[in-house]
Amino acid sequence: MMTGMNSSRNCCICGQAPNTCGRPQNVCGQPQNMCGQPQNICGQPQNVCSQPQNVCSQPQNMCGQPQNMCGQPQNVCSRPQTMCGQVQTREQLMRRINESSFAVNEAVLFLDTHPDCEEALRYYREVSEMRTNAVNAYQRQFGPLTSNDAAGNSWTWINGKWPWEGGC
Amino acid sequence: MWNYEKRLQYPVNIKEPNAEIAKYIMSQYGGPDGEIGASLRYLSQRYSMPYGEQKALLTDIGTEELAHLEMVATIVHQLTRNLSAEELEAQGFGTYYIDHTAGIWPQSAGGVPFSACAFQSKGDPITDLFEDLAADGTMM
Repeated sequence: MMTGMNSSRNCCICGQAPNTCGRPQNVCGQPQNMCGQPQNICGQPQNVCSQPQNVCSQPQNMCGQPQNMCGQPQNVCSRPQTMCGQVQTREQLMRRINESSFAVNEAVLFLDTHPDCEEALRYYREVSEMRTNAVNAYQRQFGPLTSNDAAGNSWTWINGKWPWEGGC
Repeated sequence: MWNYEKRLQYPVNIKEPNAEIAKYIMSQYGGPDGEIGASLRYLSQRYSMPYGEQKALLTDIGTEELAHLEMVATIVHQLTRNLSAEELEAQGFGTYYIDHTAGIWPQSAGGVPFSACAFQSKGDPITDLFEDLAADGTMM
């Protein structure tokens, strides 16, 4: 899970990861969703993902600022975590993962018995994206949280403290 | 199938070991109302549940109980780590230490090993739900 280099959401039309055209988002003159299809192909405006792409309530890069508000095109900067000049510590990122995971867990249990609740579905999508972004940001800097993300130059799963040792 | 995420559901960072408290906390790991019993209860009962909503719920709660199990084990581990045999004995941990040293093993505070007799699975969803209410009422 969550192996992407970028934490931005998938294209809401085609479901593919952004930047699959190999060009930085927002600066290639292509539609934002990068799926090789015009932005409005579905007849809906760009923001059909329930939140405007650049003003989502959670900062996409976990730096405390909304995506693209730091004056740099998203993903162009080679320092995804620090592109707004702020660094999240390991503790801060883990706290964000724990908090968003708790919200996801509770939403899951609620949805199990309220599968048609639109408000709960919206909430689930919101906190789930928050969690995905936090997990991706953590893994980029501090190593894998799942063995799926451990195959680097060596097998990094074995590195670092384990949870019961005070690792996370 | 399950996947492991390398973090605790809630962080545990104990500064001062205390084997006496560990002996009590241990019951929430392998005691009659502990997390291993809770997890096995829900994960076992789900096979006779006929409804999708409750199959999902039993699966998801049984899974979350495993995360609780890991937190409790971590508490016991951190409360007993780096203590000498003498310190552990002085803190009332001698009867556990003689069999397990500072290893994690599922038993109650009174030393009774974990037993599946701490929960039921009767093949009848109503009966099982009543058993869940008795065991973990605030969750269900």
